[in-house]
Amino acid sequence: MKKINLIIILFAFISLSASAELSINITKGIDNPTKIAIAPLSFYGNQLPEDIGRIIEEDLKRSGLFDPIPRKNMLSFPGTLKDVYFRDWKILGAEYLVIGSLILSGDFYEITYSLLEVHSSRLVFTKIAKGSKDQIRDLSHHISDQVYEAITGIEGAFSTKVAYVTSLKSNNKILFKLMVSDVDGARERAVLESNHPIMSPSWSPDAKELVYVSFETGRPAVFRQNLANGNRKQLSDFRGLNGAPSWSPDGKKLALVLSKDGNPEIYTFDLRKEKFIRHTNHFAIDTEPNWAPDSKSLVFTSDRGGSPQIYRLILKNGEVQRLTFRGSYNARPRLASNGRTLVMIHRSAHQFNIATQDLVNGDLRILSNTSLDESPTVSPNSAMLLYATKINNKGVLAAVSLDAGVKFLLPSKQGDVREPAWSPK
Amino acid sequence: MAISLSLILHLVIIYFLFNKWDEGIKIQKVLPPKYLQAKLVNLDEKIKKKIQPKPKPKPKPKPKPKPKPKPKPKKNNEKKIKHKIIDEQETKILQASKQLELENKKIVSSYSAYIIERIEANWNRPPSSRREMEAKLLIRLVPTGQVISVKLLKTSGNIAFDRSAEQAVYKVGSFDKLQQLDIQTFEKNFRELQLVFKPNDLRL
Amino acid sequence: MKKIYKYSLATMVLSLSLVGCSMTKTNSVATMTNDRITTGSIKNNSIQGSTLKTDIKVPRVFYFEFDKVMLSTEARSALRLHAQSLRSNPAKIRLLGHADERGSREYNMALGENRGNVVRDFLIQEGVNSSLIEVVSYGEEKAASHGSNEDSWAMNRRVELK
Repeated sequence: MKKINLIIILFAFISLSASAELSINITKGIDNPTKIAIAPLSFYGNQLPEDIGRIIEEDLKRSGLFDPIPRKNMLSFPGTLKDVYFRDWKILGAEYLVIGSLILSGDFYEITYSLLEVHSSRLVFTKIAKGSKDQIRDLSHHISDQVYEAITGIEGAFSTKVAYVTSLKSNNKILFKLMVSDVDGARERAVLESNHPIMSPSWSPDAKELVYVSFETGRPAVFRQNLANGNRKQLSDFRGLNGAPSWSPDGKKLALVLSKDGNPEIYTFDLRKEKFIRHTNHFAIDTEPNWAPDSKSLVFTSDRGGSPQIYRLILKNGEVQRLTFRGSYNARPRLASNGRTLVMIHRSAHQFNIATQDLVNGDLRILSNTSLDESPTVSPNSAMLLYATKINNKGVLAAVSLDAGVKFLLPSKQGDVREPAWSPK
Repeated sequence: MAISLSLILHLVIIYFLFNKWDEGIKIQKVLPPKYLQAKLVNLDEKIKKKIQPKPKPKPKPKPKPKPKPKPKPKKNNEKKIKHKIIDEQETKILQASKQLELENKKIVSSYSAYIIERIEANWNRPPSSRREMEAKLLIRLVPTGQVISVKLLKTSGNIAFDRSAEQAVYKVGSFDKLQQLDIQTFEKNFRELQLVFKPNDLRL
Repeated sequence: MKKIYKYSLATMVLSLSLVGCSMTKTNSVATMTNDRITTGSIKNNSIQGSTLKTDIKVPRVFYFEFDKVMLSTEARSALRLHAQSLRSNPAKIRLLGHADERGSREYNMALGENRGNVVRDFLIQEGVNSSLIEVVSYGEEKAASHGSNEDSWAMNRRVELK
């Protein structure tokens, strides 16, 4: 009897020690672009003016995080959930599937679309989007945003815009244009055309206006323009430099550079009160201010230390802190919306490259492999950056992802392209 | 509001249902495999007389020495020998079971390593992932190695990160090598197991 | 029997809750916003030409070494002649400062202005009335030479007297 007790005790001991569920730690992964299939959207009616599925594929591919399954390999084109056979997509190696169907109701398109997990055969979401007939590209980019966000956890930036300056020589004259296009390069439109240089466009936080520098009066001056109606207003008219306007994230002020007091200094301009306040007081060059996301400080370029470096100015008390210490030239700072990634032009070995510095851990990374790089601008989701560079003596725009995984040149346009500014939404 | 309330109610019901369900399985685990019982049968054969269990039931041996002082030494010696044999046998059982445990642990850890390798080869982390994130999954397998359920036990706080962990398991689909495992070790360790996803290879 | 009962009850409850979730998820329709753009217009600005009386043959463009703001000897001799002319025949002049394309555009605006200021200061030293002089920087925006090499860059690091 008691021996049975012993047996039971012994086995209880063995089984108890193992009866706590086995727990396994997974500590590494392989981060390949996610394979996603975008089934062509079904539409019962006349041909659509744009291939929505194609626009979505290109958006997702450009982000560097997705690898769209080629349409020619697809075995079926389901438009609704009941038409989906997951095996058709497992065979292609797809991890996710996007399907959708479009109906025309009056003057509007209504798209019902779904994102599905192929391996688990689960539905992630079904959503509906509506737009007018000329908003098909907007609808496509909207779907890309939703898919991107569900899978990556980051807000998409496919519906944003870019402003940039072009210059084209014709008949011994140079024509300058300030342009705005979709972030994929489509629907390019002229905001301003001029025989005099245009520089430094900066967006309002609601993405409805731009401020920029124009030389139309014979000297550089800052202008404000409403995109929808084209109304313009000259904001500054001082002698010397009037430049590098930057619109605060809270929409209330501009930061800019003026040299009216003898040398370039950082000022802020209250848009409502129309008043200038000076913030730096140093005989060196202080220029290129850019706002921190909380609108409480500015990063700017200064050569007060002997060569151009990046500093932070706390607006409340005027305190200035140096941020860059590596390299002999760091300029044109931009703070990403995450508040911790500082983007800039960095010179090393006679090359000017775009670099990022993590303000928390100090990591410096050179992102571009072109040289003569300038004017970096960051996407509102801090995932990508655009910048200007020269290839074969022509000014072009290039893109690079902030994790340096993806690089590409934007499609070439007529003339030189430069000074990109990414819209905040 | 109503949706979340009904969800909570459903989850509570499910929790209780599954909880009671588990108890049934646990009771099964305590049943011993047959070969170990065989050893104990041998023990019985070696010792002719019934052995009294020694250190625990103390009161019994005490009254006996009192009535007969002379036969005491003889009985004590016998008892000592008996105790010695019992001790040796017990040590052997313990050693055997420890040995078994060690071998078992080796097997479990080698199959665990296999599971880790398969999942890590399929875990694609979203860019919003951070080193500090941790998600816990409870997965259920069948002896063929096939995954039959994946449940999120503890969220990392980031839905995309959680989803990537679940996707890694779904992508593997089946841990085929588990078919080579004996059924008992499978039942004990791999029928249901926890996966803790905590990346330490991320830059951020 | 008991287990089967529990199992099926659990499955029913689970599936009901899942179905319930997807059915009650209200699909709010996302509507696209309009983003029309109208091109702005510029008023015609005529910039006055200079009435500087110095001989045409005297250089009116002065070049600078990379990263330097020093005037060359040739520049100084030319500027002395211009100063002479301006002292006797005051005329409004503009000094247009430029930089080569390397580095950031707005910082190059400041470099261009520095160079213009150096020329202005020299002229003032030579007795020219400061109110006659305006320094305007064009940074790298009006390159004289469009190549990306040392020769082009040297041509662009300049101040033009107009």
